Amino acid sequence: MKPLFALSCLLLACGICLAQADAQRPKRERPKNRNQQEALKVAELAPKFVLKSLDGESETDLAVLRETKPVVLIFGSYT
Amino acid sequence: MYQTYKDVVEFRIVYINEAHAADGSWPMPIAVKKGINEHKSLEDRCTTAKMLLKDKQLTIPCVIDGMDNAVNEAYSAWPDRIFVVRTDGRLAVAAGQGPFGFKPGVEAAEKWLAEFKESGDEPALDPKAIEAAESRDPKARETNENRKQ
Repeated sequence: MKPLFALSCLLLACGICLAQADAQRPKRERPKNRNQQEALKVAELAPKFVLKSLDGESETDLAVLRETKPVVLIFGSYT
Repeated sequence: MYQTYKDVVEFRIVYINEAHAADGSWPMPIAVKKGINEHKSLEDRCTTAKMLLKDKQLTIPCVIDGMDNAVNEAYSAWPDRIFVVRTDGRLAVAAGQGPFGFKPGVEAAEKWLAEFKESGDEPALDPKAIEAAESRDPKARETNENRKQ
C-alpha cells in the first residue's frame, strides 16, 4: 500500500510542477480571426489588401491584381 | 495547379504567422529542426517564407502579411486556407480553414480553374449566394449595382 501511496504523491507533485511551468511560460497571442463569428463565403467581396512582396521592393494590391485575371490566394506558413 | 493555370490566373502565397512554431503552443518537429519560431518581426517572417519557397521548390509569387496579421484576420486564414477571387472582386471559392478544409479547398479551386480555362469565362455565381452575400454586406450590393450601370 505504501509504494502505491508514494507513487500517487510523486505523480501529483509532477503534475503540479508541469502545470506551474506551463503557467509561467510566456503566452503568445494568436491572431483574432473573424472565422468563429462570420466566415467568408462564396460571392462575398474579397477583403482588400496591399501587401509587400517577398523581395520587399514591390507591393501587391489585390484590387489591381484581380482587374484582369482571377486570383488564387493560398494562405499558409512553413509549419 | 500553379504550373497548369498560371497563364490564366494570378497566384499569390500569402505568408501568415506560423501554425506550429518551435516556441509556440503546438510545436511541430520540423519547426524545432529548422528553428522556426513565432515571428517577432517582418524580417523573421520574410526569412521563413524564403526558407519555405526554397525547401519546397515553390515558384509561386509570395506576399507577406504584416505583423498586425490584418489580412490573416480579414480572411480568417490561419493556419492555412485557399480562396479564388473573381475579377469582380467576389469570392468564387472560399474553402474552409486548414488542416481539414485545405484539401477540399484545393479540389474546389482546381474544379473552378479547369472550368475557367476550358470556357474562357468565369463560372457564374449562384444567384442565391449573391443575394445572401449582399444581405450580409451592403457594400457587395453597391458594387454589383455599379457594375451593372
